[in-house]
Amino acid sequence: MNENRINEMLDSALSHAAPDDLENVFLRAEKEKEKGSEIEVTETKTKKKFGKWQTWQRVLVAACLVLVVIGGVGGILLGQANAVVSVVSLDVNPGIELSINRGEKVISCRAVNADAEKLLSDMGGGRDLEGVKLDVAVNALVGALVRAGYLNDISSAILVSVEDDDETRATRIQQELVDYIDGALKGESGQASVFSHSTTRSDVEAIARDNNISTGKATLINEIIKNNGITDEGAFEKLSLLTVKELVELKRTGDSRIPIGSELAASAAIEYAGAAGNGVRTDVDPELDDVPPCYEVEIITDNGKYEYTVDAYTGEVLTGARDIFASAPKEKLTEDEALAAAKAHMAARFPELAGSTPESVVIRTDDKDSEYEIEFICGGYKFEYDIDIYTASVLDWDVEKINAGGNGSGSVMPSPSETTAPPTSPTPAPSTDIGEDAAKAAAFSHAGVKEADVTSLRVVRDYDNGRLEYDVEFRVGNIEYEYEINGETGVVISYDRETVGQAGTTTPPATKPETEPPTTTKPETEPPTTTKPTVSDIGAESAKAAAFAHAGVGENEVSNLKVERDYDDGILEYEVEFRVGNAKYEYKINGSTGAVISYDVEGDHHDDDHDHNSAGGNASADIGAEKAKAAAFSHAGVSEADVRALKVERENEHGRIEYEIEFKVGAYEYEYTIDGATGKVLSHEKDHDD
Amino acid sequence: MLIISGLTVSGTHDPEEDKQTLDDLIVRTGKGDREAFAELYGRTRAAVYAMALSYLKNAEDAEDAAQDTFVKILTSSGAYVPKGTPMAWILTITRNLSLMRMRRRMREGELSPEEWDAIPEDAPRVTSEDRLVLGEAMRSLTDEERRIVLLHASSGLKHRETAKLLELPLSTVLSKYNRAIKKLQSVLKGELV
Repeated sequence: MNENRINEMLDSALSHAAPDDLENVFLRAEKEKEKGSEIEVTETKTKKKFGKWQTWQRVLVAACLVLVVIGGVGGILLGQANAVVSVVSLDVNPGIELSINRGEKVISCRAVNADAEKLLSDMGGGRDLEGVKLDVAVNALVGALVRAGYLNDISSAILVSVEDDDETRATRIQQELVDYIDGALKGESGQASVFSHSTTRSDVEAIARDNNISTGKATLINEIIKNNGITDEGAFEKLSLLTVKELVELKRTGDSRIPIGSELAASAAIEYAGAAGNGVRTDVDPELDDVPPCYEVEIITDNGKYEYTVDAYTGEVLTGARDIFASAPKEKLTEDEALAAAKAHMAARFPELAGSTPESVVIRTDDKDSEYEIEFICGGYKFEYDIDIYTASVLDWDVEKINAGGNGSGSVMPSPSETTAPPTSPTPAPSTDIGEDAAKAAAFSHAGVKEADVTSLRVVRDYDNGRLEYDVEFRVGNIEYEYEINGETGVVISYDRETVGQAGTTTPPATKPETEPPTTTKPETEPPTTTKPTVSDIGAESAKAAAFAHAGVGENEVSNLKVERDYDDGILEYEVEFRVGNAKYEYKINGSTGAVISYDVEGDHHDDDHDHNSAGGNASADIGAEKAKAAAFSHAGVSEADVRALKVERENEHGRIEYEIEFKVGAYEYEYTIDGATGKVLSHEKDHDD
Repeated sequence: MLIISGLTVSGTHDPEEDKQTLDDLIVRTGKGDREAFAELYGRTRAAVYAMALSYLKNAEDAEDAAQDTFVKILTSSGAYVPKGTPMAWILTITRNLSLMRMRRRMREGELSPEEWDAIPEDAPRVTSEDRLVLGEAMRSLTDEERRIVLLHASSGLKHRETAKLLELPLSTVLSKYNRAIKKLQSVLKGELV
């Protein structure tokens, strides 16, 4: 047997044995993106809450799907084949209706509204689905919805309604579709809830069309009116303006009142903020099953974002800043004034530090010139403040204990628990405290789980932005829950649910290693001065490997390698820096998970420098700002419609035109340098949006 | 849904043309072209699996590491800069992911060299000949010999490129390759026609 034959056999064997499951790669990449962004937004404490809201809001804008099958039009149409016996409609806030004949083939496909039209645009406006089997059509639609990111969130809701005069058939189709979608979702993220019902055909179709909603949504509304006991005049019309997410939440609460709706909530917040007429944008997230039921409104201005909560029924603004534009034109504070504000804030919370002089003070302004970022050390603690540059109000603050010995500084809040804290430990003074048990109860109740079923419970009392919070983490089976509970009111501030490992296995989830035995429920028993990291550590080698893998380079190619182990806001990080040729790479790697938190590549265009210079005389070539922008957007994989806070600067660097382009998309900030002659990306950076 | 045929890189292609194609496929993947990725997957999955298998020595782990590699490629190819060494780029990712997985496994105390198996029990396309030849490659060769032989057979990389990828001197790669082929010839003699 010769060498070639052996090689052929090996190649063939490897090709046969290698996994061939492309679909799975696509699915996991989708999930990775989700997960990646979630991991990343939790990395930086000051940005954590905000980032999470953004992620959720983006998904929740249209995170609900209604699938409706209606039947029994029959008879009068063009014979059996074209007789509609059922109508299937998919709503993603928008709605799609599929009319189905007796052979369960699609006769027609109707977009109920604009989002649906968009979704159907690459299916011939729905005509491509005509004549295909119902399950195939639903498969195509569910696939399109998943790809569009509608169904990947815990709060996604799917309503399957089947309306058909033949009750048996209705029930069967309903069950088949629920099973089908359920299975499809388990393969995806397993996050969306599936609701379903089947009814005989009623007059719901007429009223649905009158109100420009799907029959499924109409049926849901009728149910809510009946079950919640809503007696308002025009209740149907009012409820038809709500999204499916709002309706599902409303149904859950059983409230007999009608929520004001996202638009009114947004206007209430805008008016309260004094932002009317300023052309601001808003993101609204209904939280009707929160206590109190509210809308979370984010007002996005050129100066930044402002968050509001608006009572879901009265429209009263419960939290948020007033007159956000009035303060803008005022005089800026001096650095001393900003530092004084920070010191005053610190002294109010840590009286024993009141007389101390802050050391190692660093003051800088943020890139929007709207706040001072102040860091200083005082009494063994490192304080970080964001002070509004005009009003001196404390926008955000954080404190961490400086570890006297050892590598890196563990981030530990000065414990507010009175008995165990050493006398030197600064003690923030909470107003009221619901206590750990109530916080746990609130989380369990929201999650709909019993304490008896809960494992790996961990409750941490924490201050965030000066607010008392309980972070409650636990597992039920292979679902891991993370809650942030307001320590004064018991309100759920945020929550997250993730499926980890296999049920029954003890493998800890990669992202959240259990560092305590499952029975340990009281982290208070740890001395508050403990600064030892309680997270697992992948080690410098793996961190390096992760950075190299991301950069697509081999260790042998790199030079000037530097790896630093560090804690940022209590999160173990490795900072990995290296050079490959002329390119300088800087990575931040999560020390527990190996996830790339942020990275930066600079240089790598010396060859081009050469090219341009040697080409002679084309230094003034200029593709123009539009093309430069397009190059950056294309590289970032974003569309201009999603971009905000765009800044484009044309610069003449050593006779060469470069465009500096900055913009934001979602929770990220991008910075690009584009070669003005070629449109080539010279450097780029992606990081969390402040 | 995309259906992918089982394309593999065989030694009959022009290597330079292959590199150009792979570079192009990665760049297109980075721009969100799913078909390009599908082709890239088809062309490189055997080599990626070979790399993972040669480090992890366990079919299940190797499958996972191979799939991890493609997830990584799919999510990070936007930053890919074509340098004319696409296969090395891909296999470096595989190697790093395999090493990470190996370290994790060692920490968890799961690694038992006797337990490895090159081929999953329920792999439908694997013939008995496949099972035999891969099994021998796993059993009879040293770690480095195995890596060199499997990569050579599946990746289309030249010995010089394999040497660079595995961080070994070219002379070592050449001698180990020759020794490995001889070993396989001898153990497979009589077993296969």
